[in-house]
Amino acid sequence: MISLKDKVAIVGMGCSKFGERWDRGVADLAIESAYEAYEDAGVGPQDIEAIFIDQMYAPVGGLAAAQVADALKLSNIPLIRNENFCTFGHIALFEACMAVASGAFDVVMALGVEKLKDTDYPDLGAGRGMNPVTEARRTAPGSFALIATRYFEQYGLSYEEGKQTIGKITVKNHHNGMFSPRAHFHKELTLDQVMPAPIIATPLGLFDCCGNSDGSACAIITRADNAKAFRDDPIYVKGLGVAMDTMLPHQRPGFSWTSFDALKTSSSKAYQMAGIKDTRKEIDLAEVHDVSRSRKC
Amino acid sequence: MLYASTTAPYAEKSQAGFATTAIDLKYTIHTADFGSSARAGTSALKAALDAVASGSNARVIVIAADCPLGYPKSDLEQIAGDAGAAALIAADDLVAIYRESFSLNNEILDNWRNSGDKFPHSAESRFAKDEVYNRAVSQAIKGLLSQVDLKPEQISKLVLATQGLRDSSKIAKHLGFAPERLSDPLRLQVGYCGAAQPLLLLANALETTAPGDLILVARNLARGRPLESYNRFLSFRDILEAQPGEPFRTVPSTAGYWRDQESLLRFHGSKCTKCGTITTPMNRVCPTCHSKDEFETVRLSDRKARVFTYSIDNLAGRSDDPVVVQTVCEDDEKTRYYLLMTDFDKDKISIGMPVEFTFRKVYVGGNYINYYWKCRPAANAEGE
Repeated sequence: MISLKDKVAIVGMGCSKFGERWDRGVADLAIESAYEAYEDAGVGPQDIEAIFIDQMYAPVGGLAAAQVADALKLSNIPLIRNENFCTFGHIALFEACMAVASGAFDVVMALGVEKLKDTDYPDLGAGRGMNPVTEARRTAPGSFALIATRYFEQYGLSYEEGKQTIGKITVKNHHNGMFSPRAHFHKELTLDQVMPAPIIATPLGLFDCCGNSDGSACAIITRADNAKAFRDDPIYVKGLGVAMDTMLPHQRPGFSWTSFDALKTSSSKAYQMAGIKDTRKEIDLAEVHDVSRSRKC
Repeated sequence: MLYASTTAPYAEKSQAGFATTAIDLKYTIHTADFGSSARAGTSALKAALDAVASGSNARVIVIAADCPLGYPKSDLEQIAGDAGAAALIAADDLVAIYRESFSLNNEILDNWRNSGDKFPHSAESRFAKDEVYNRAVSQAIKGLLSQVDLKPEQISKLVLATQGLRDSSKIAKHLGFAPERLSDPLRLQVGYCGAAQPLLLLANALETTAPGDLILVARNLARGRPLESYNRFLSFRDILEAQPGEPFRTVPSTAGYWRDQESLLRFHGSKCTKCGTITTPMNRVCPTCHSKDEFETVRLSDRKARVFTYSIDNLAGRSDDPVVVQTVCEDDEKTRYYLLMTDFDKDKISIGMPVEFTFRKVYVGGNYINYYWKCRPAANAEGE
């Protein structure tokens, strides 16, 4: 893979408010983030040469990207969608960066949007796998709890000790959410509130599972050598790493359930590309995706 | 393979073909369905005996299964039980020898279900049972005894399948059978189980019979989890409607179900012929060595395994049964299984716990029943 280091830059970002946005649809959420990104980058719809759009659940006919492009009235340009569940926003950015780095386009948009609250399903619904029979009752909390249960076993934690560990991450995450005006939840929690919360899927309680949010985020990406034409302080992409594991590690002999190769592979590729040798010294801020606290362990 | 039931899952569809697949018999056997009345069990048994006696078939398996459903709070509901029983009929390697049969046909509306009815109707029992049915059974037994020239006292065990609680002892007494010759009707353990009853009671009699005994049939208890309430029973039987709107994201397909039947119904896995990795459901490309289409199928349904990890999800199930246990288990060959657990006590699930596999209804989707295998706590702690 070619190195992307300092080849592309983000010149505009937009982000909607996240939460239960009953009065806003997919189109509204996409417009919210896209127009903020246009303004931030000082560009308009006419400047966008390709759009990388991601929406995992497209309740209307499975049409995810087309819905968004139509709302933004972006036509006659390539429209590309991916389907990588919780990572699809990252993958949209990855695709956009690769497209610009390849020289195919100069200015592209990466946009992620999800409208979960129109479909009324608790925790994204059951049957989230690939087979309607063998994975009929597969849910997000139930699946990620498989990791937690095994983690406790492997590291010799009692249920209470393990649950406390997860609870502390929950408290920290809610605290961090206070710094983001557009976060779904703005509420400090204490361990005493987290621990006795109703169990969703053992050992994950109510606060250990992510809320179901509606929201959207958007980035405008361009060539690094042209970024200063848009603004004085572009964000240069230093490293990107992507790795897909499998939807069904369940059937892989010897799988530990406590460590995922794709996590290590993707981050080490990004570090390598960026030239990061000592993460503790060189990285100031880590944003870690966390649909269920057990994944953060 | 002959299948008998009056309460089979589908009103129209071959159950015998389905059961043949689920118990992993070969494709090239003759299958037939028997139904319409509780006598279907003995009708299928007779057909099997005739088929083997005539030389038409060398080995015939007869399966009878019923889940009799009475009106809520009715007598039938209280005396009924769900059961399945099977008999293998052959000309050699026998545990019991079939001597004679005697049939008697008697047209009567005693128990019937109109087309489209959920619950059966029954006639006044003093008429239907005392006057007609029990008398007919007595006549059949007398006819058989006279045909083989035997007297009641020469019969070691009398297996009597009757609906009423006391009918079998009444008939036995009337015909002059000593009370201890009447085989245990399993009233308290199972109850009235329709077409399955004669086969079930026969199996029970055979297990408690000495070589040389004579058995007369005039018409293995499963483990389960006690239901915590009568309401739960009613909703499981679709008498009380459960809250609709299950949050399924994936849509079942009849063609997909047909294509995947070797994995889904027979519970076969694929064993890589290059590296030996076994996966279930079956995989064309080996997850270990990436060999393509280099596998043999292996039967996994009889294996035992242990829980590797699990989660108890309080919200993933149907509204009347919301708790779902997702389980990853591992057998002695390190094969991994991802299955739902059933018949569990949620306070007694742990890593390392022995489990066995059981064929179950998973859910109704696409207007048909999606069956697959689940795991359940093993019969004993060693998982043997």
